[in-house]
Amino acid sequence: MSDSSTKGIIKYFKSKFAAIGSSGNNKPEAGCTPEYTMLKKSLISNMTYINGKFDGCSDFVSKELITCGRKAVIMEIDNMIDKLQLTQGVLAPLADAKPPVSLTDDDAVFNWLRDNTFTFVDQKEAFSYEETIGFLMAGFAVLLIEGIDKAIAFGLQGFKFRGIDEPNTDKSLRGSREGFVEPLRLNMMLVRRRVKNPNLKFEIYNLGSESRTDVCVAYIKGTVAESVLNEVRHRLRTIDLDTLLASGYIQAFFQDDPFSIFSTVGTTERPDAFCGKLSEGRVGIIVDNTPITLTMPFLFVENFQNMDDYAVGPYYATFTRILKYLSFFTSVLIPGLYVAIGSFHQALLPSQLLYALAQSEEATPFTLVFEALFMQVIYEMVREAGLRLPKQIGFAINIVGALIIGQAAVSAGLIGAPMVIVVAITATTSLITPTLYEPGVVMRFMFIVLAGMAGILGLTLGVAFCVYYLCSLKSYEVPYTAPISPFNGYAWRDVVIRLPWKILAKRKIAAQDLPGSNVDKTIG
Amino acid sequence: MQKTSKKTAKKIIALIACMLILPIVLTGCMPYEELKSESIVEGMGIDYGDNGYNITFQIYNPKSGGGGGGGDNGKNSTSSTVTILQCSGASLFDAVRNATLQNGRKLYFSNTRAYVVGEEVCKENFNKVLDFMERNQQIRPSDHIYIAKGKAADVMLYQKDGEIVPAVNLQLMSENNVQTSKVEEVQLFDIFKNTATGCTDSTISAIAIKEENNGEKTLEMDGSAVLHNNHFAGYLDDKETRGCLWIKSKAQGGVLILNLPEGGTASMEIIKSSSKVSFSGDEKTPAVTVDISFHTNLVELQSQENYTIDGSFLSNLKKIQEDTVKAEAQAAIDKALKDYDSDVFGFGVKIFQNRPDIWHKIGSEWNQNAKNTKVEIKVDSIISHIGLTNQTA
Amino acid sequence: MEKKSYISTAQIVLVLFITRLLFSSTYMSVLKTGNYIQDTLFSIPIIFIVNFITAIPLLMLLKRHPGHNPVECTMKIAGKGVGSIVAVFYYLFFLLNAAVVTGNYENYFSATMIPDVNSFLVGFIVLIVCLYGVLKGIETIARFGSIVAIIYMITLIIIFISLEPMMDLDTLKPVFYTGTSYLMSSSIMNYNLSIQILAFAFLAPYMRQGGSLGKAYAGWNLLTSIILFMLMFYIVTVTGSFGAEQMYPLQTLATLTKISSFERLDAIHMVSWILNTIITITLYIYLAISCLLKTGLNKHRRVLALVSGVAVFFVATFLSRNFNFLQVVIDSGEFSIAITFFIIIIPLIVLMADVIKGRVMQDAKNE
Repeated sequence: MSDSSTKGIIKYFKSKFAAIGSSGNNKPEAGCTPEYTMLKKSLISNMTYINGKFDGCSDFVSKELITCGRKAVIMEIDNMIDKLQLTQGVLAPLADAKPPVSLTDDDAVFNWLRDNTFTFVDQKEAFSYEETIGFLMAGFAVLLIEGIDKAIAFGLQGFKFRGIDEPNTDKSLRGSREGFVEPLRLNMMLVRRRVKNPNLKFEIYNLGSESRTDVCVAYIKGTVAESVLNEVRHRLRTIDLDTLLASGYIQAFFQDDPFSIFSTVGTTERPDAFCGKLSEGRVGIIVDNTPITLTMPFLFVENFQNMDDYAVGPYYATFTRILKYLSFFTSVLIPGLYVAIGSFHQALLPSQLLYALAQSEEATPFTLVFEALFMQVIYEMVREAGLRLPKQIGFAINIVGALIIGQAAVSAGLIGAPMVIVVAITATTSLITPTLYEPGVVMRFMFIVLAGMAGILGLTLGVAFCVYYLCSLKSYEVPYTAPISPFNGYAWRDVVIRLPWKILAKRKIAAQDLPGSNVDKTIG
Repeated sequence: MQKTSKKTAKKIIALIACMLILPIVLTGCMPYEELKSESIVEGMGIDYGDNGYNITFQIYNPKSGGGGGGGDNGKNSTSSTVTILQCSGASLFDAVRNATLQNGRKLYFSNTRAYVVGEEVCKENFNKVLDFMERNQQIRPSDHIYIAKGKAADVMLYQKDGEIVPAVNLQLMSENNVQTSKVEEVQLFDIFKNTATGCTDSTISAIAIKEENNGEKTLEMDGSAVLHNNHFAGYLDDKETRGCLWIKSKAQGGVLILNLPEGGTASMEIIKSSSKVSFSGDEKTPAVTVDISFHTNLVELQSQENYTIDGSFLSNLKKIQEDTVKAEAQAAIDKALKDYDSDVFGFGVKIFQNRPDIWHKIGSEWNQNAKNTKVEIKVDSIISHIGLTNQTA
Repeated sequence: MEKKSYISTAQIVLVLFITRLLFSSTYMSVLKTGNYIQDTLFSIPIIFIVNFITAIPLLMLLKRHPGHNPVECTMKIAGKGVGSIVAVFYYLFFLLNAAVVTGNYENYFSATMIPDVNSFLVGFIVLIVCLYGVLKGIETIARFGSIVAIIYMITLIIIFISLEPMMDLDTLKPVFYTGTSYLMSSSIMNYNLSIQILAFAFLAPYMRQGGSLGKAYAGWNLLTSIILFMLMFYIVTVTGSFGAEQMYPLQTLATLTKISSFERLDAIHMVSWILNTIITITLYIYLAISCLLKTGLNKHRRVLALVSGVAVFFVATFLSRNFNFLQVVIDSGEFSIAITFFIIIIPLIVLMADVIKGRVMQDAKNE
């Protein structure tokens, strides 16, 4: 074969390799160098190279066998493939393979073998060492035959994985109990089961020069805004990481401001929530070996929406929405308000509260600011300790935590009883909107400090600062506070209230159609 | 080169900013008003002393009472919820600040329940006291003010069962005035408004300490005091105070005792009342007509006779109660307007609002000539209910 | 240079609405109306009409040159030099207004809340937040403004509803007892406070295409007049002549508010006032800077913001120490002349120059 046609075939198969699982989109893969060393015809030189690469990898298994009168080697990474299917689908037919006598040419025998023998759908060819190694890493079994400079790879993935289980972070009473798992293909399967539409496209990229992790970009063609999609692709290609172990690593790359307190990229562990966001014109990213997926653009009001809201009736859903908004503001503002009012503006309190406050103040040595900061830090410590402990010791920590924060501190005269109540309220309400927990902690501490410095004036200035900051955030050219701040009355059907499904179903509002968004709709 | 110098410049600025923020955070930039360093004032009694004012404060005692936060195990302390502080000074503000010489804590006024002014202080220019309250931003306009028949210190120091009675009781007594309508609830805001009009005088509820037969002293609200031109003019007793309330449309409860001609008394509960003041006459002889209308219920009928409550009985009763109310209102007018020369009813304001042409002529001398106003009182009433039975028991 | 950003008509109306309401009743005590406070209510319909009249030159100028602010129009018509001088004038005018608001705020805070605080410290920390907002851009300011407008309206509604039992309609009765003197003085006071037409003109370039300038301005005028009227109505009927001698009547109203056992809601009122102050100062400083940008200083936005902030701080400290001076100035006729100069006369001159220039060029074309 001539060089040009080889190169053409190489290019064709390169694109196929890059587009595994997708429906044909020709984007170059990210992170991998486009240099290939081609396979040789000699089995011994191929095996020498490959054995050299895998020298020291004790999970690399290869078996020599003879098929069609030629030597062959079947390779796999131990525990990545399903051994039963390998035996039944590959080794047994290989052993019985008898090419017709008329075929003597190596390539013809190879083509016959490839097309007639095996009983798989997922069967690919590799032309270079890099592709072969890539297939091996992805759980394929690779067959090399003497005299052929191509390899056949069989998709026999059978590695063990954590079963599809209820997601830990986002439970739902009335929705499905499935959450994402680690393997990328299974997550894609979970999404595909819910949107049975060929317009749902998956594009796979490879990130991380060391770890070579697969990353999948999912979107629904026709609903998504092409400019947002292009921006996501551009950012993916420019990520320069060594190892990519969790989706959180690349989350910062998709945000405009790396120091931002509020995240403009959403995360979800539920396939149904993921599909819901996709159908609103968002782009989703699934990272291999992480059950947490990313969606962009992400708005502030999405922190308060979850799947249960849509399964219950409109009145109760509205009530829980309002509750969530109230609890977020409570958890962020209440310690600051308490410090501000108790230190500077006691006039606001009704007399009974004032007396209770005076009594507790009388007995404690510290100022309110110090008490508040101290209690919040102790609470965060107990919470961190609780996250890392095995279950047996967790019980003991609960008791100790309750004692430290609770009655003993009050009886010993260290802190006042109202402060304990404030901390308890803060802790409870901060868990209602878990995605806002991290920014909430930062804001809470800032407000306590500001309130201790300057009372309600300081608190209001802090609030103004945070609102300025929120209003200036943009997530992929969509304003972060839409549809609250550039106001759109119709979009409010799903913000603080949740109107019945008949109204929600009438007209879809995609993320890029929200007021104030500068998404370029002329592309695509 | 330029980039590194810009970066180091930014670093230096950030460092300086951090260094500046820390001291501000730790020391605060606004004066702390922690409750630890303040005493909550519950009641304030103002008297005259040797050199200026003698003030008696009732201060909330946080060590008393049960409840958490304290080092005690919730034992029932016998100490009262308030402690007494007495201090003096050349002006009110001076006396307030001198209190720290005894107490060590700044006084906090936002929760004050009652301001009691002694009789002597009222006899001088009452405005002197009022100015302090109007200017201070901690004192709310909705706080209550009282006059003490005697010294205000006695009212503040009044003890019952060995414990000092906190001033909150005074506030409760005055807020529940609707039960008897013999007391008027006077807030600082009312006095401010009246003073601002320039032609209306104010009434202030009066507190007296009465001595019973067995030597016990009781604290009770006893009518009201009338001011004229910011001087104390005199007292009204409880019936006259109710007359004032009738005319001001504030008598929304209480009991009318009617003497029946054939013997016995009927007690009527006042449900609601309203009054309208209109101007009749001209500038030479100003005359005012007061229309009072009210609703009552019959609640108690005490007599030896057996009455059947029917239409004629009720119309008789109606006439008697109207006469009673008219007498009360007339008594109030006679005392306040004629004897004390003070327009506590707001007649001047009503003339100004409804007949500004007349006010042009008589307005400038209204303060002196108010007593010459002819007042005509018309009363109208309705008896709504008579209870569950229509016979005397 | 920032990308051209657009804000909607509703946001412009809301932002200007709350800037007008801030400190609108503070200067009433200088009028010394006493028992005759009800005359001031009638000045509001008068100002409603006068606002339309004063808007005519600016709106016509903007209609002829859509998408430009008055300084840009002046530069196009009269050249860069004259335009720069006009820009400097407007810059100083906006900064003066920002300083007046800040001085008002410092005085308000130390008079009503905490007297022993250093007033310039209060102004300092407010200005820091305002400068942060200025640097973020007009879209952020507009979004923040609409949120603050909602909060402010809710506060006003709470105050109105809870004070309704204390309303005494008889205080409205004798109108024009002393003739029209109080009507004139309160009209002058309200006229001196209504400079929002200028802010509107400078915000016009940011309005989305297709928005009608005249309709937006009429909407603002109507909304503001109605709410201002209700505010003054409550001050007159609830506090009467007592309110006429108060420095901050709205604060007094808030102090009287009572919702079951929570008395003295003036702290809630203070929160919305602080937010309102922040948006007002931010808007004025931003507009001041946008005046000067076209004169060639558009690379130095941050430096300009810092310089303006410092200038506002010093002037505001001076004003808050001499608060009586400030009150007398705002109520005086000389101040009205100054405002007329900026709002009517300069745009009128520019407009006439534009018309003449257009005619001359038309004649040159025809020849």
